[in-house]
Amino acid sequence: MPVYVAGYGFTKVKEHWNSSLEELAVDACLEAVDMAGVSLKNIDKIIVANALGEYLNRKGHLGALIADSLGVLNKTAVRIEAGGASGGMAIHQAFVELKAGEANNILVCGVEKMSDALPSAVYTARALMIDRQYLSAIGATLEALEAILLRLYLDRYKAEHDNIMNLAVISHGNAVNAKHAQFPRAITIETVKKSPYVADPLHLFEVTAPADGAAALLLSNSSGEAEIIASSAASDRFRFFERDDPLWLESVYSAVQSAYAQAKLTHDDIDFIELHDVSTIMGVLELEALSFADKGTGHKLIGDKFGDLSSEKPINTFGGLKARGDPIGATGIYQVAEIAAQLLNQADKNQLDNARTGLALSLSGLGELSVINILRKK
Amino acid sequence: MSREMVPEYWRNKHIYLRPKGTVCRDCGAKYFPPRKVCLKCGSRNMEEYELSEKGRILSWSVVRYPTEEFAKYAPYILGLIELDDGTRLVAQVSDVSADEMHVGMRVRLAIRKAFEESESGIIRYTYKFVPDISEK
Ligand SMILES: [Zn+2]
Repeated sequence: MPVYVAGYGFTKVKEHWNSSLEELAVDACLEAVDMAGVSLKNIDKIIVANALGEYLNRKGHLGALIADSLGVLNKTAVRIEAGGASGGMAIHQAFVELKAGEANNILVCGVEKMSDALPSAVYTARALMIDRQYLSAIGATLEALEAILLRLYLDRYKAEHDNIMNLAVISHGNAVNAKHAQFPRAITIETVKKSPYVADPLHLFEVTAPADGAAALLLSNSSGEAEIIASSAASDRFRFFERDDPLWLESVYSAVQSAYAQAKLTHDDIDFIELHDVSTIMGVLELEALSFADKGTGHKLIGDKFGDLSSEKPINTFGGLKARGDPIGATGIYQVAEIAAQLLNQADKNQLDNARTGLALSLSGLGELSVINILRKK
Repeated sequence: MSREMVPEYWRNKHIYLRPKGTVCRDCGAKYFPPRKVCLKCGSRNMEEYELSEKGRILSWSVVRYPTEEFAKYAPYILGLIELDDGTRLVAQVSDVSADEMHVGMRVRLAIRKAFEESESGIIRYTYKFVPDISEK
């Protein structure tokens, strides 16, 4: 059975002081079901993606909580936690069930509410995505490990850090007219350079900021114009220091190769890409593992005016994680909702010309798990 | 909102105080952290061994925004280290300032305080690495 995005919805990414986690989720879900024209009683299943609810909000069991908040009862309701890849993984799970004909309409909702917690709690919560025993228990943070990869990359490939920073500049540029973006404003390399280090040599403007947001998709096998033509997930060694090459994201490579095979296409057929640019260096490594740049050359691609909305291969068409924002469990759902908006010509000032095939990468930590979803205009 | 995790520390103390890996008795592959099944040959015939005490810095960072447990120790240096037996690990690097750090720097094992669980709680120790001044 084919799988279509029949409807999507999302809140603006920002600090939603006056909304609870479940209120944000309901707002996004109602938008998605209304767009699809599907009544709540025809939803077969709800899948909620959330990464850090226990730690940041002291809320668990979010499947049933959000199903009730929405008024969908007596149906399967489940929550997926897969770190930064929670959103992509929730879509993948729905895809598998719809493909198999186990359901007709699945509501997938991603939500994260990070502004209820202090910044130190957010760094602690993010560190849940990395190993406890041999990393966070000895003082590692996710950002410091990304910085270690950045320095390794700069050293091995003699790369210019400015070129890598340019990924943040491109993403911000693409967000300028995006109404739902957390940071809809342009920045320059100087802005990035002048920002303090989050973990040397990685600057604060090279990583994402805490954010609240919810996004939802009504996935259906009955009808639609935006079809999910491939969905694939893969994991890698959990501690990056054990990988044969810490600068190679094998989970991204495995997932995308299997998705390309499913969809019978290659990277040349992809018109635009939603990267998981949780930091500039991760974005560069992702472009290499996705085959858009050879190993060790992603920095040259980024440095070369790559990826803006009028370019040959646009990336992060509403600003990506850096500028649209990264409400962690919701992020993978925003990505696919944005691809659907492009394919349905609903992207307003961010609309791409001739956008037919878009790819979303949802990833956790340093690539311990990656999920690829590819959509095509019918 | 951190809470005491005393059993976690006691369970792993022998590794934090003297890092140990496993070596496969069938194919010789070495692992850190220890594993029960060899990734290379599938053997379950694994034996514990003590890692090399010396190695070199492959890359490093300075943690400026730590997790809550390490809040009062920042900034501190975190290194990716390749040990002389070929295994790699991540550890704090002590007794050195960030501008003295360089790729290839020789380091050796040292046992230092990790963090205190709380004012009245246990003090956790861990392996860290320090510059190896016995070699040039
Ligand atoms: Zn073996």
